[in-house]
Amino acid sequence: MTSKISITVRYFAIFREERGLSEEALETSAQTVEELYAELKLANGFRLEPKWVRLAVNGAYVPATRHLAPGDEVVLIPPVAGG
Amino acid sequence: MSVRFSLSREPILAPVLSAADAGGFVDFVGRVRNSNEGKAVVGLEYEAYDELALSEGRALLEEAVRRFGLMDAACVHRLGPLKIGDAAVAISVAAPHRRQAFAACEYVIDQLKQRVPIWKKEHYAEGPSDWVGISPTPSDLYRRQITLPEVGCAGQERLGSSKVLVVGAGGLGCPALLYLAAAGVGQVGICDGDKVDCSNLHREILFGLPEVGQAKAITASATLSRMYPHVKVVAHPVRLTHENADEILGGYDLVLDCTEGLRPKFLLNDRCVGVGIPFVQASIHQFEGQIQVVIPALTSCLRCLFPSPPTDGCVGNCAESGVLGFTAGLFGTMQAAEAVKLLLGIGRPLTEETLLVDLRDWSTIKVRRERDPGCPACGSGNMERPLEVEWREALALNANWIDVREPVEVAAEPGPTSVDWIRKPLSTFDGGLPAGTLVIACAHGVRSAGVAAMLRQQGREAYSLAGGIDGLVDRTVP
Repeated sequence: MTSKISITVRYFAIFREERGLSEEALETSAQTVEELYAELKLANGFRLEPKWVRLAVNGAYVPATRHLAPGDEVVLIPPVAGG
Repeated sequence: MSVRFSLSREPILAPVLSAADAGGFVDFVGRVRNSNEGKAVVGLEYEAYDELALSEGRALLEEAVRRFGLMDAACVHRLGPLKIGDAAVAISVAAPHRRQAFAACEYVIDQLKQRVPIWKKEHYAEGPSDWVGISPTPSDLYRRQITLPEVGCAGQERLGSSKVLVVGAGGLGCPALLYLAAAGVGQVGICDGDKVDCSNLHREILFGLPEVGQAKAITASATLSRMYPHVKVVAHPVRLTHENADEILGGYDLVLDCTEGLRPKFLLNDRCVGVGIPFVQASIHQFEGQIQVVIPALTSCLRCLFPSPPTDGCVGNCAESGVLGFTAGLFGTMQAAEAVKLLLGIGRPLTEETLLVDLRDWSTIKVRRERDPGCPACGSGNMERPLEVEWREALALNANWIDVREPVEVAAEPGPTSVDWIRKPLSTFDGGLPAGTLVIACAHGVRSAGVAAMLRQQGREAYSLAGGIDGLVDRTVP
């Protein structure tokens, strides 16, 4: 069994709206950021497909295969359209 | 009573006023003097920006009438070459009493010299001739920013010789345009094909109720030209498309992406990268926004982050999600700041990072971004077949045209008659579409994008008409 790690997740734009929160601390068994997004999409009913989402970890955009480490701050960033 | 302001290339006399209820008439005549600041003057020449001088001159006289309770006022300004002793300007006012008349006359000549765009070139007995400012000089206008060591006279000149295009005269574009023109950027372009709508006035601060229904690019350029006559303002009153983008962008040093909607944002990204023009990109959502600077071939672009953007419906826009004016105002102002920083080489613009700001709690994050070598726009990748097509591109597809609007919408606006529409209202959509390529259309291009995406998943060659049928009705369709 995989052990869970503690991370912080911050939500922007449509994600903040759909989640109803700007930020939360959570425990996850996801190994990579793409697994984390799949987990959050399922739990919160996020509408955006993974290919339309960029995740940043600790202040930098990362590839979807980036492994998560305890204490990571993950930011979910959708494309934003308003002007 | 209507005031008269005129320009004349022939010798002038003081205008004659008649007003039975006026007791004080004052005429002022300004003549060419034989010296200025210790230099012997032999003659001079006046030049005007006629159209603006006339409207500004008339506005000045009307203002004097209100301010001093005048019965009448008139002014004529001479243009062209003048000799010593020739009348250059003549002002006549009529007031109930002499006191208002003297004060009003003095007010008009003082204001005229400051506000009305008429320039004087003096010819001296010795040495070269010189333009003398009636309108304020750059050093008067920009003194406060020239004082900054980061700007200085050289920086101000650089701004004055720069050309910046603002795409989208909306919530982001309005404040950006104001600050760029106010800073003395030499040429400011405005590209927008929309008209002013009253529901956007809360954030489009260049417009008010009188402008509702007018073409945004045209009215914005008229307002900016009036406020900043020394800035060249160019209106491009069209929507940016694949067809016209390169022509509009050509010649500009820098572009501000102040558009609304993912389609225009990615189109602008692709064309700026294609043509090699740096741009400052910003987008807002409710109380939040993102801003970044893209320098083609040096920094990552929008498609390095999002190779294929979602359709607009998935991420919300100002109409659906709502927005407060100041969110747009803040980000538009930040775009102008980045533009001036880039033009003058000040500080560290957001070329390596995206800045995200949430106005609710002022939390900010800077996210480092890197180029993707496989980027479909600035790298080796290939661009995905676009889901949305313009009318002209769609015609070239030789497709079947499917209208998914409801019967009541079709009755109100049948759409162009140059194609054979197959009406398939979305509420009773049953499939049953003809073989071959399909172009799906609705009123604004939102429902049709959803249908086209669904059909593509079923393996069909389907496209959505960008902007929808209502978007075409505003324009001339070939």
